[in-house]
Amino acid sequence: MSDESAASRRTFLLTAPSLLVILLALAAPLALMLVFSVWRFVPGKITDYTLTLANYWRFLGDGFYLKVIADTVQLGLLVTALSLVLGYPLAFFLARTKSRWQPVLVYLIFVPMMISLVVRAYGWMVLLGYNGVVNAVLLQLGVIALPLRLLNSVHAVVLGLVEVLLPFMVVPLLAALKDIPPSVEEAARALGATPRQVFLKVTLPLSIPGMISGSLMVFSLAITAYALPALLGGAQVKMISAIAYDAMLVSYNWPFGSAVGIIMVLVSTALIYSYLRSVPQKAQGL
Amino acid sequence: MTGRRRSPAWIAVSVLSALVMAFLLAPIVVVLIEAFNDSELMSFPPRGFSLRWFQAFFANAEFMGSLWLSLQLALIAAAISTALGAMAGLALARGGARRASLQTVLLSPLYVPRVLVGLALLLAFAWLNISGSLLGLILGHVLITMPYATRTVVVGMRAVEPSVEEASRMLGATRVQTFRLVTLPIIRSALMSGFIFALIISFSDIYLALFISGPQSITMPLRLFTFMEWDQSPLVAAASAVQIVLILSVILVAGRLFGLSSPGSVE
Repeated sequence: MSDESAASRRTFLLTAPSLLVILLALAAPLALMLVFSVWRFVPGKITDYTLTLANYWRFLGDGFYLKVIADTVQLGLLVTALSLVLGYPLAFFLARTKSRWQPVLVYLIFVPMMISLVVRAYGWMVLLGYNGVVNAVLLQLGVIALPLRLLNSVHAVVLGLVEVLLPFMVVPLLAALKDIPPSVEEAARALGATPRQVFLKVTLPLSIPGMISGSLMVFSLAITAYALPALLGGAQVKMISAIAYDAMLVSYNWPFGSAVGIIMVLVSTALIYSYLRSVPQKAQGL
Repeated sequence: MTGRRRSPAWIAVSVLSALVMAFLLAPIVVVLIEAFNDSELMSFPPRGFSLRWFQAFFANAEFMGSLWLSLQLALIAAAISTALGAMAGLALARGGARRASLQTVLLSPLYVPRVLVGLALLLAFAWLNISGSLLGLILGHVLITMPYATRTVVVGMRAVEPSVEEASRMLGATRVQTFRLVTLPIIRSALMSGFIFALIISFSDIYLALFISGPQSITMPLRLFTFMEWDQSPLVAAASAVQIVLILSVILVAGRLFGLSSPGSVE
């Protein structure tokens, strides 16, 4: 009995510093955000501490903001679908290849994740810019006569987001595909299934959990993106996080910015909760 | 098996994978090429080979100040995170009843989108009138990097058999001696991995910088971000290339020295 209480005291002492950081830098600020979101905005002095739900109604009732919400969700769905389509073959290849380079290739997927988003956004500017790689190639091939304006568009943002978020799709897919015992596919083949049937009737259905986890993660990261859309979309692309950023740092409407933030917290918490439910314990956090 | 692997379908999958891989790495590769461009403006293909943009970068006081700040910030944040994360990781690895929920709380900074962490911290610091402080930035970076250290230590502790620790205790070692002489050597590479990931995450972060940096605490990614909005000359490419090379060499050297475990990261 005393052994057990000593153990739980040790657990408490060992985790207390981390929990304190989470309390100070995450829990308390989010709680403050919740409080601010129900205070009335007063220009010049930020708030007069009157309770109101007006900040939420403004975001969820105004046509302009509803369009931003719809655009954000649409962009998130497009990015998720493209990541799935591009990520599946890569994950399948990495799960089934016998190449001795397989570990190196898996590692190469992680490398971009460690390079700053800003650096990779610049890479997309070099690729898509007026004097960039894509225009140079198309001009050389005679496909176009004049360079295309590719940057500052929704397309540029979609491409950039797919590139940045693809690893979050490939990793759970790879885990799901590797979890399928080879004997299951062998059994299907032994029973006379063609390779195509094996894939469509056995492999694909068994990899659905990985598709779900990857999609939830990519979608939740896509709809909360800010830096990449700001750099590649310019004034053409307005997403929910830009509304929150502008409210906080440009118009100093902290109550409105907080309400937008709280809505984003609720949506992303629901998505991440489903994500955590969908991945097996051992792969959690990947 | 070989028949299946040479089938047209498998070849199609391989080719497609190579293309997706190229797509994934293209932005990084073109930055490295563009940095050597001998031209006033960003252009492709490069007009001649030159190191002048690297010279310009290293002669630029603002960039140098930000690079230095980011390196210091990353080292401080990673050191604190590794210490706190290691303690938490040890507790989780040997913890009992409420282990699962405790783990969810300790890893929660990974699951909250970075933009929301930035937004919430901005509000809190502005409300407390301590906006733009370096201490605030350090606190934020400790928050977002700590879970990486926690997780690598939890994974590393799987290699430590409880019976080995018990044996050490039974032979008369104190709890501290056991940790220092038995546990620590086994989890050393996990600790180092956690430190390296924390270092990289902190060094690359843009979201916290966007929201809570002040004029005195402009990190390298933020300097690049603001610079890029009006100037996309090869100077940005050189600045980016230096960051890429720094990070890649850290990964390679660390991997050589103690074998990095899988990074697995959220932004």
